[in-house]
Amino acid sequence: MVTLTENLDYLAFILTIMATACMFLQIWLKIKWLPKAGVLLTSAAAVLLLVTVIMRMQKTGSLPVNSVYEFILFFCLVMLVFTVFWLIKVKIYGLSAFTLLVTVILLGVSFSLSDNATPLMPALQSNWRVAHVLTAIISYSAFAVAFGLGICYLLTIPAKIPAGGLPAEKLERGEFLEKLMYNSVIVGFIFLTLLLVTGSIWAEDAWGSWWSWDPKETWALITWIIYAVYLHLHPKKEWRGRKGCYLSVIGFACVLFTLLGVSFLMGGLHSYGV
Amino acid sequence: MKNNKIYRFLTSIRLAIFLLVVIAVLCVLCTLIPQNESQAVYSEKYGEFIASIIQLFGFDHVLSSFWMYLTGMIFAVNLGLCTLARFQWAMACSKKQIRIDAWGSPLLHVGLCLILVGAVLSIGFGRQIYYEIPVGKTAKVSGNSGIFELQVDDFSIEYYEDNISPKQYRSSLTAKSEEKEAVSLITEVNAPAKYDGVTIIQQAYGWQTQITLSSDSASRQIEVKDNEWVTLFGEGEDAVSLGIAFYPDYAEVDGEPRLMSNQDKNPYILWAITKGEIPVASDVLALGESTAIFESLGITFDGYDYYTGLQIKFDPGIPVIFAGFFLVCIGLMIRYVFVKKQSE
Repeated sequence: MVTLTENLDYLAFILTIMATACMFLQIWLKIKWLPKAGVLLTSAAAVLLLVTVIMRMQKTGSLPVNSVYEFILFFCLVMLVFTVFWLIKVKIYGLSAFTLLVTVILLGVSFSLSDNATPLMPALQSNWRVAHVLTAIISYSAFAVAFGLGICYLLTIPAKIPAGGLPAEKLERGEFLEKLMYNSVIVGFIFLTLLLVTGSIWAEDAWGSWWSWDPKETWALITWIIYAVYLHLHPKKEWRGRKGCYLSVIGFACVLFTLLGVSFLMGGLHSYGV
Repeated sequence: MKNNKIYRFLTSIRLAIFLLVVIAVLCVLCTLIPQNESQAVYSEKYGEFIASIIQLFGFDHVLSSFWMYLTGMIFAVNLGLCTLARFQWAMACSKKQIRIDAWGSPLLHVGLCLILVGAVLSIGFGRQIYYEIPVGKTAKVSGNSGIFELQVDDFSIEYYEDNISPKQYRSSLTAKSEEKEAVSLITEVNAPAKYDGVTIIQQAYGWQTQITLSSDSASRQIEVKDNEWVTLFGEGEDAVSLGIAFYPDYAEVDGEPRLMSNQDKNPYILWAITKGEIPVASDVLALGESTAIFESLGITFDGYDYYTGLQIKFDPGIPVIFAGFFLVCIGLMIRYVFVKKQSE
């Protein structure tokens, strides 16, 4: 018999959809209680995912990040926590709407994956595993926030500046979104670098090769290069604003391809529990 | 020098970004196009015209293509010169008073240079060989100070509760050479052993069976690995081959052989004989049992043991690469975290 506790992730999925709807509606309708409902629904979804993760941890006896399914659960949990934090701190509803939309898509994908809790294979029995996976989750979450901010910028700040220039309010808003996006990319880039470093040191011990040009490694490097290009271009004024936002969106597309595309289409050394 | 056009071009951020984008594009191609396949595979997958373009530009071996080497070399020069420029800038900034925040970017770029240098050292001077050594047997290995013998004393596996999924496996080894005293080593997954400058990595394992082939006139013992085929006699379509699948804990369920656990509680082999590609005979055999496979040829399942799969690696680039990793991390922290705190 299927019990409620076995379906907490489905419940979290439904609550996240509702929270996403609240945030998107808030962008247009601007009703006072919608953001509060969004915070409550997102927090409730986060608590449900946290319980799911803890239950799996009890089942497997280790941090549940051993398969793509478990990774996505953990990633979505961190994304929800980030969303609540940003909702309370800066009240950018567009950002929350897009990070929640990413969470909904990822949770939806996770339901098509095997949720079997398989024991850890010997190559994964390493202290580097937790550091490697946690850096991935923090990095990807920060890039998701940068992506959400990039989309907000693209949708709210017009491409063509009117003759008299942008109103001061819009200008200030654009600069604020841009600065937050830059800071999110910095956090994501630092943790992506740590992800590559921890993975390389671990791979040297486990596989005898710190770099194997495995598809996941290669796509992580491609992602690193895109954000490195963003950071090198950021000091140039013409690359702030929309161009930077496009790079942030392309970067996050690479993150998603590294996480899902590579796992499902390419296989390789990183194909655990797909 | 700084006013030289070529120097300015080679140290420009614009060139660095162009090269990074080219490297990213080459990386994308190497994951999307199957690598090192025959022309027939590309023709079948993409059609004749695109296949010929792929092969003409070397996109069937992107990582060792002209484009990758060319981009890599210009990138190395660009990175080296940019690092130098950043160092000079940091020195100039620190002339009046020491500014730690100015050193983040140079350190980060020195780290990247070290990773490149280490990778070149690995490719140029590194070597690695994979050995499959049965328990009790020895392999001759080339160390830093000469050849030494590596003997596998024991091999053990730790299983999960299901007795099928391995949790950890390790080899107990003895390294012996004429000049040095014998040294006992243990290598396990994620914890390689080190001896005489080489790293001994536990990578795989398997079963090896001892089979005796006997005819009216003679008998000989051969060693066949689990899931391995060996040719007994003949060539081409007349070649007679023996294949072995080893079941350490065998049971027959619904007329089919089944592995009950990975522990050697009831060892059996499933043997098969083919002539050319055509199956001739197959059956199971318990330890010590014999059977006739032809009128004049019999086989006996004499014994079995583990073999351990060890990757033996000498790589002078690793310390340089790891030092590079360290500097990249420290440089990043100083560049982005420390600077922020200072400005706050």
